[in-house]
Amino acid sequence: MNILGISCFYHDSAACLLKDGKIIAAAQEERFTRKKHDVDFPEKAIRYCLEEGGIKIEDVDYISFYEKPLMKLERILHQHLEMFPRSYWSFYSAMPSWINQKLRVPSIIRKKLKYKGKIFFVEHHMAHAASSFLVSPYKKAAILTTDGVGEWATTTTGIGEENSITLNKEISFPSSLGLLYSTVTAYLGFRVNDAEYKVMGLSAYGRPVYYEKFKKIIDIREDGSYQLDMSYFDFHYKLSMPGKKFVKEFGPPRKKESGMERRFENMAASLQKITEEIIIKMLNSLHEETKMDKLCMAGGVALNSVANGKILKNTGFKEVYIQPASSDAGTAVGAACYAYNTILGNKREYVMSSADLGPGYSTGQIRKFLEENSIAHKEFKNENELVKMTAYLIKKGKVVGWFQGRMEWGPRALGNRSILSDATNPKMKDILNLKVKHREPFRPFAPVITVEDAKEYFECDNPVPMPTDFMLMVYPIKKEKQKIIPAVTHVDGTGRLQTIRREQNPRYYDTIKEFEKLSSTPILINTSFNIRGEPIVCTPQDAYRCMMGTGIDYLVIGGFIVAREDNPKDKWDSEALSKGW
Amino acid sequence: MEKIRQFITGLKDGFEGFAAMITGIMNFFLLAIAYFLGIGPVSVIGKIMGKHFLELGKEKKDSYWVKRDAGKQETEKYYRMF
Repeated sequence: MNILGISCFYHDSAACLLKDGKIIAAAQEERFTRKKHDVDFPEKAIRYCLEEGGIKIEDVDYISFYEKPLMKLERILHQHLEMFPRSYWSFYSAMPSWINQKLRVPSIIRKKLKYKGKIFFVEHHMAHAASSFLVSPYKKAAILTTDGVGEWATTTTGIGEENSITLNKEISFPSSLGLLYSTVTAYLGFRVNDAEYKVMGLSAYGRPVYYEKFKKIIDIREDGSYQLDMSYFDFHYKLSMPGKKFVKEFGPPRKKESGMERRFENMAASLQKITEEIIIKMLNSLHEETKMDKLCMAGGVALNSVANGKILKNTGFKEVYIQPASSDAGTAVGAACYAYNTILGNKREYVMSSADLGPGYSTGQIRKFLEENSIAHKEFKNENELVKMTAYLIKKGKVVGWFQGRMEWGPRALGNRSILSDATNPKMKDILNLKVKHREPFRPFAPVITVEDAKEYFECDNPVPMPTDFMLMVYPIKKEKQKIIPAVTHVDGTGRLQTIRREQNPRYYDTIKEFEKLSSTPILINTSFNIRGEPIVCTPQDAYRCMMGTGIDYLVIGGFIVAREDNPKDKWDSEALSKGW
Repeated sequence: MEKIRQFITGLKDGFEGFAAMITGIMNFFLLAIAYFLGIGPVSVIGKIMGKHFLELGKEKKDSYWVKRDAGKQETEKYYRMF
C-alpha cells in the first residue's frame, strides 16, 4: 500500500511517501525549487518521492493532507468577526490565497497530480503528534505538540498507544507559545517562521531581566497551561505581530540588520526562560497525568533545542523522541503515518532512526556530472584513503563541503549535506563566517561527535537520547573541554551537538575518528551546506555551485574530492548567479 | 528577430502587470463588500448579543487547558475538509 503525505500552503511545503508502512522518501519542496521555506504545492518533492519509490501516481492508494482547511477557515473568520473592522487589511491579504488554493486542496491535488484516488484530511496537531509517535521506537508514550497554530489548537497533549493516538487537551488560538516566540522574533528584526532559532542562539548572551514583564503578558498556570494577554499583540488581526502596548513595555523594536543591543539580548534570554518554564511545567503535568516514562514531542517549538536539552533533567520522563523535521514540514510524514496506522488500522513497523530520506546520487551520476562539466577532481577508490585525506584537509584548517548519500529530512544538516571544519581551531568560527556563512556573529556553530565520546565532552543525558542524533538537544560542554573546542563552544558554555553512530553513516563517522587520530579530539564543526538565505544544497550541481561561489576549499562528493583552486570560478559563482539558476 | 522577441516579452510582462493590477483592484472591492456586508453585520450583532468570537486573554482561569474529544473518528470524517 502506497500513501503520499502532503503539507503545503503555509510554510515549509513537503511530501512523504509511505510504502507498506515504511517511509521510502521525504523531502521539503524548497530543496528542489531553491526557494527557502517554499509554501507552494510540493510538486517537485512529490515527483521525487514517486521516483524514489519506483511508482507512478496511479499506484498511490491514498493521499493524506496535513490539516483540515475548513476548520482553519472557521478560526480565521472568527478572528475577523472579533476584530472587525480593524482586521480588513489582514482579510484582504489572506483571502485570495484561501479562494485560490486552500479551499481548493482536493481539486489542486487531482489536477496537478492527475490523481483519482481518495484524500484524507488529518487535523494539524494530530498530524504533528503522528509525525513523532508513530515513527518513534515506543509502543506507548505521552505526547506534547506545540507550534504557532493549526486549525484552532496551538498546543495539545495526549497519549499514543500502539497505532492509536488520543489528544485529550489543547490550548486554543490566540494563546500560542509558538506565536509568542515568533512575535519576539519579529520584534528583534528577524524573519518569522525562519529565524526563531537565531533568537534561541541570542538568548545565551543576555540575562532574563524582562522575565517579570513577560509574566504580565502571559499568564502561566502550575499545570503548564497559559494564556496570552492579546492587548500586547497584533497578530490576530494584522500582518505585524507585536502591538503598541508590547512596544511601550519593551521599547522600540530592532531594525532589520541593525546592531544588536544589550536589551535585545536580554529580551531573547527572558523569552527563552519563559518558554522553558512553560514547557517544563506542561511536561511535569503531563507526566503526572499519564505516569508514562516515554515522551514524544512535535511542532515548531520542539525545535527549541536549548529547552529540549533540559527536559529529562527537569521532568519525570526518562526518554524523549523528536523526529528531525518536527515543524510543519514533518506533518507530511504525520499525515501519511496517521492514515496508514490509525485510520486504516495497520500495525507499526517503522522507526525513524535516520534522517536519510531525501535524494541520493550514485558514483556514476556524480562522475557524469563532474566529467560533463569538465570539473577537475580526484577519485578515491579506497575508502580509507578518502577518509584520511578529508581528515587531513580539515586538520590543515581547510573548509570542506561534504556531500554524501541521501539528503537529510528536516532543517539540520546531519553529515550528508554538511560543511565540515576543525572545531579545535579558535579562529574557525570567524573563518567560516568570512568564507561561507556570513552569519550574525552571535550565532554558534554546532559540533558533531561520535556517540561513544559524547559523555566525555558534554554533560548530556545518559543514555544519549535519539533526538541528539538529529541535533535537537543543547547540552553544557564540560568546563575542562571548552578550551579544546572553542569553535563550537557557545558563549554560555553549551553546544548544540549532533551525535553520530557508525551504523548511521560509516564514512562520516570514520572521518571524525580519523580526525581524532590527528588532533586527539573526536569532534568536528558541522554546519549546513548552503550560503546564507538559500536552502541546503540538494544536487551535485547545487553543491559545486555553492563551493565555487564561497570560500569552501574542498568538496568531498561521494568518493571524489574537488578542489576549488583547481577549477575556474566564472560560471559557477553561486553568490553572483544565485538568482539565475 | 531578437527585437521581436524582446517586444513580445515586454508585451507579455506588461499584460501580466496590468492583469495583476486589475486583480488587485477587483479583490479590493469584492473583498471589501464581503468584509463590510458579510463579516461586519454578524460581528456587530454578535457583539451586541454578548458573543466573544475569540478569547483575548481578559478572563483569568485556574487552567487554560480545554478538553477535546479527538481520538480516532469514523473513517468517513477523514475525507472531509472539516
